[in-house]
Amino acid sequence: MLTRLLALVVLVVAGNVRAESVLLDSIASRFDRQQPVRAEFTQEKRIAVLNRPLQSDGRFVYSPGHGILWHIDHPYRLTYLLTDSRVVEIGPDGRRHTRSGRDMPGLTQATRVLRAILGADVKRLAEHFNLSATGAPEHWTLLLVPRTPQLGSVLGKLQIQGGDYAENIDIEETQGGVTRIRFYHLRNAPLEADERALFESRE
Amino acid sequence: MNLMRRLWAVVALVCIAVVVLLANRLPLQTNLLALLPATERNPVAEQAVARLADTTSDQAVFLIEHSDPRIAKSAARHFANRLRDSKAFSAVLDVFPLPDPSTLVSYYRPYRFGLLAVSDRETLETGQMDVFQRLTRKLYRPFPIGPSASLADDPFGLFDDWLASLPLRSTRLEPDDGLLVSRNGNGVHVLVTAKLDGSAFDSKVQRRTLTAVEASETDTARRFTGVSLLRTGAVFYAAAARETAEKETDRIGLGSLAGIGILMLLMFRSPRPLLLAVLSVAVGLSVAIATVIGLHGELHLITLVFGASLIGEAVDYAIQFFAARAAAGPAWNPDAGLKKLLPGLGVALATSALCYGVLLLAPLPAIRQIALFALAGLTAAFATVVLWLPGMSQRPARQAQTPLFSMLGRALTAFRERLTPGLGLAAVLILLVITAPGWFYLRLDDDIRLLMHRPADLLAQEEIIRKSIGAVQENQFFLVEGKTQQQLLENEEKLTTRLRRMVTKGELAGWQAVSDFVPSQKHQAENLEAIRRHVSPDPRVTKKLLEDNGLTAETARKWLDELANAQEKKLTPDAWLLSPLSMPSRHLWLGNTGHSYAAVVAPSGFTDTAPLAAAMAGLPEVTFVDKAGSVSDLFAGLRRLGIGWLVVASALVWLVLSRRYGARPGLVTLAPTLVGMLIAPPVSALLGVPFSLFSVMALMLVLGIGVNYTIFLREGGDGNGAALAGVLASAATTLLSFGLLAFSSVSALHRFGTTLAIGIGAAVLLSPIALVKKRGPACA
Repeated sequence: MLTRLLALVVLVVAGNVRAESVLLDSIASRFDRQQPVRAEFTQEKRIAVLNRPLQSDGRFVYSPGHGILWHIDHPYRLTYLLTDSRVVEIGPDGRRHTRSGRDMPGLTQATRVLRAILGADVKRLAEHFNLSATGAPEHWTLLLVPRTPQLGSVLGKLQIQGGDYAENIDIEETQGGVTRIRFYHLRNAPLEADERALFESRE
Repeated sequence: MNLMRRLWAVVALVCIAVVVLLANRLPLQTNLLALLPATERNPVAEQAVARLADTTSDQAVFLIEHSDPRIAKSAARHFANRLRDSKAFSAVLDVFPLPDPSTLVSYYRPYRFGLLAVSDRETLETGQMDVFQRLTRKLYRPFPIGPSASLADDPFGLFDDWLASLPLRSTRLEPDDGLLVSRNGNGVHVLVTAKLDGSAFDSKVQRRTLTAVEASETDTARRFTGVSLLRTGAVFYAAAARETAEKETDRIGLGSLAGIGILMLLMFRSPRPLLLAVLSVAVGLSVAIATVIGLHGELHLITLVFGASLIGEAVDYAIQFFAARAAAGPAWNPDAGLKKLLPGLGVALATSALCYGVLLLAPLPAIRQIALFALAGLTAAFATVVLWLPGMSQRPARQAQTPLFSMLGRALTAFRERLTPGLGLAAVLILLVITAPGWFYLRLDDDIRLLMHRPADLLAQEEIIRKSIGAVQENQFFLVEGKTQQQLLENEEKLTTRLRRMVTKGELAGWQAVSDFVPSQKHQAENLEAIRRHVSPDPRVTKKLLEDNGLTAETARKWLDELANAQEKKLTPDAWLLSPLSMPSRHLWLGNTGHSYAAVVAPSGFTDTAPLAAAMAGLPEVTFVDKAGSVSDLFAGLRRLGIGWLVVASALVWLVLSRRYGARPGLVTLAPTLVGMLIAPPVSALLGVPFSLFSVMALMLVLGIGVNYTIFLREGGDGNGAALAGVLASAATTLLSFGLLAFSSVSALHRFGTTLAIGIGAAVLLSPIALVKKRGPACA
């Protein structure tokens, strides 16, 4: 997924617009976007009102056509399920807290943006963000600035850094502070049975 | 007599002048609501209906559709710009000021301790809230979804939950690049709305709007291939109704006149009768139009279309006059002829006037206007025939005994010879029996849509737009009242608690109410109490909890201080109404109506209104308003009442006939019409026409008009071929007119015309039976 971002960065730097789409396509074909993508992550939040940084780690699964599963394993077990139509928070006791897209304007759009970021849907990212890249192919930084004030009031600027693959995502919080997410072991892997059940449950 | 003639000339000329002057600018009323009486017992409810109708009636809604979202959006913007350029609208909205999440949050932030989502309040009060878990969730939530408050303002996510519970979106539309968009399987629909520069029912506004819309659509479709544009709005229906009414009026009018022309030329072989007949009809219609416009100020479309079908009936008096002239042959004396004719014509007019007069009493303005039109028109035609025609037809008919008349005369004489009461009765019984099965097919239909003209393509577009937007039903809602604003809000909250239960049962999808955005102060106070008691019963414990989990001491202290002082800050409706956030819901707040404070709670996504009506039990200040349902109830009630009136009217008509012919002969004269009235409903039912108020109206007219033919036949004299020809011609013109009416696209008129044509047709066919001579025991 993030290799596609890499490709985009390389080509932005190279400045060759037509070759860009050709290369993007060839790289895309190497990375199977039809298959689910999974990784481990650590997340660190630093905001002004906190007396220490908040750290959590866990696993995430992105399944095209379904959505995103964000499992936090430490320090608490929390699971977030994001699909086009709803957001479900599942607490450690299994209690679910669902918010449906019908009740919240902009939920679907926000979810799509998040999925675009995590699933590297470059086309969709370009719709919502102004992209700019610096660095070299071995170590690049991509800056995403929200295009609309609505998006900007929810998500601040994003900065993605990587080499062979994206390693860090820094999200500037709108209320001051930074969230830093680091990904490990990005790979294609099929959905587990319980994951599929979660995605497909109608709750 | 001369004075009367001159007076009539003046009246007629004035009316004709009025009509000619207004020719292209007839004040036509295309608004359906103008036809309906006030049906709600609560005057505030009528106000609410009118208010809601006003907010939507001058809006035009467009949907631009394409499978590529980018093209759809560009096309929508282009279309909106074209609409703006046309200057036909006072406002065109494609870009919607998105409820900016941060504006929402900052507006409600000072009041947040009084705002709790229903589920949270329940969880708090049942002691099940795990405060620690709530804090954890807020801290570790990876990304915010939708409007949310900062950690410092809302460490337990209670305010977030309330914000999430706001019914901000009552539609399927979502913001996308500043436009409002709905996603379907095969593409994207973009919404554009426009506010008309005037009333949707004003013909100038209609023309301007349609021209602008069509030009913008063509231009947009040319620039962006594959784009489809849909439209809906009261203005399009009204314009279509006007166009159709004008076309139908032309068709019925021209058809009737053509039929009259052919018949009269065939019968009388001379242009004079035709010209004078047309004169009487023209005067009749002019007087009718002038009378209605004079008394009502406007003419409704339905009256116009019906008026055209009156031509066939109004011409009857002239036809009878000329038939009498033909029958008299060379011995024609206009004054004597008129004297002989007058009683018959008079009785005919009297019976028609009686029946239209009954209709004049109907509580439905639509029916009253039609009755007034008909009364004025028929009386005027009668007056013209009686006052002027004799003077203009001094000479006898040139071709008195045409072969046609002789043939008819012979047939009539032969028929009368053969006719016995028994034969007559048998014919009647056979007819009744044959049509009897039709009664089983009788279907009742009192729907308000009877009066509406709803073209299929506009309906289809409206359906697609509704599905795409997921729009709220506008004419069924709750009206909530209260003596004060706060009482009103509290009453709303009582109602919405019940509505919430209905949503969980699946009887309702949701609702829109002001109290969701501005809870009553009582409710806000209760929420605050719940938070204090269950979230932070001991501030020191809470402070420790917050600090242990990462918040700075200062942050924790600030939150606790704000909680402690929260009762000073309460949301009020007045303040909220002034904020731009209230714009989408402002139409629900009726404010001070003079009787009380009132607001509308608009439910959506229901199919059955019974549970909604049940939700009001025990809430005296809540009324469920269902204008369409009330009107349907009214129609049904009138239909039932009307049948009683039919009986009364029949008795009255018999009385009138008795004065002239005697009691028993009067009944015999009435018999064909009565049979016609009994046959029309089952035959209509067999033709698939449902029975409704308008069927009853039609039967009333079958009574008033059908009897005329039996009267004319009776008056014509024995063996009089010309009389029979006259009756047949009169009947033919009337049947032609009302038959053409049966092709109207307005349900009410279609059913009306069908029933009328069948009833009168039967009455005419059976009228010769009324000529039966009494057979005494002496005859064999």
